[in-house]
Amino acid sequence: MPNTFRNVAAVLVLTLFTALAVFATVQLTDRLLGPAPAVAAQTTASGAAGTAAQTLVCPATGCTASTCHAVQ
Amino acid sequence: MTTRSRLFLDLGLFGALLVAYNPSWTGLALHEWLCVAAITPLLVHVVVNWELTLRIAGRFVDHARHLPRLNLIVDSALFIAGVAVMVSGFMVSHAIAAALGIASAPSALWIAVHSFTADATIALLLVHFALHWRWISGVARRLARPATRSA
Repeated sequence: MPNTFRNVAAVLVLTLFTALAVFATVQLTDRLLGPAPAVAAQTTASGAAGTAAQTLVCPATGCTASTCHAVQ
Repeated sequence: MTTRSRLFLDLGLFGALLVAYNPSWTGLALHEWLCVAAITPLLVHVVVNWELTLRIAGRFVDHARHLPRLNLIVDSALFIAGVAVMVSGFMVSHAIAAALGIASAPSALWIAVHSFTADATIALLLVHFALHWRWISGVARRLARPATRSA
C-alpha cells in the first residue's frame, strides 16, 4: 500500500490534535470555573457519627467506591 | 491487512472496550492498562479505514447516500469521544500515574469528563457495531465456510 505512511501520519496528527484540543478545553474550563480541590472520597456516614456502616461516594460523579477512580 | 485479520482486530477491540468500560469488573489497574494496550489497535483500525472515510467525507454534502453519511457522523463522534476518554483516563489514572512516578490528584472536572465520555464512547460503539453488522456477519459467514469457497 503506497499510501500507508501518509495515512498513518494523517491519523496520528488528527489524534494528537484532538487530544490536545480536549486537554486544552478541559484544563481551561477547570481554570475558569475554579479548580475543585483534589477529589478525595467523601465519607458519608449512614446514620449518626460513630456508626459502623459507611458509604464512600465520589463527590464529582456520585459513583460508589467500587467504580470511582478518586477512591481507589 | 486481510479481511480475516480486520475482523479479529475489530471484534477483539469491541470486546476489550466493553470489558474495560467499568473498572469494578476488572480492577482499576487492569482497566487502565487494558485501555493503554487498546490504543495501538484502535489507531490501526482508524488507519485501515482511513481512505474509505476520506472518500465518504469528500462526497458528504452532495453524493453520499444516507448510510455512509450516518456512518461518518457516528464514526467522527466516536473518534472524538474515544480520544477524550483516553486523555481524561490518563488525567485521572492511578496505576499508570504511579508507574510513571507521577502523583495523581485529578480534579472533579476531569473525573466528570472521563465518566461522561466513557458512557458516550460505549453508546457510540454499540451504534457503530450495529451500523457495520452486515459487514461483520458477512465476513464471519464467509470465514466459517472455507470449504464452500474453495470448491
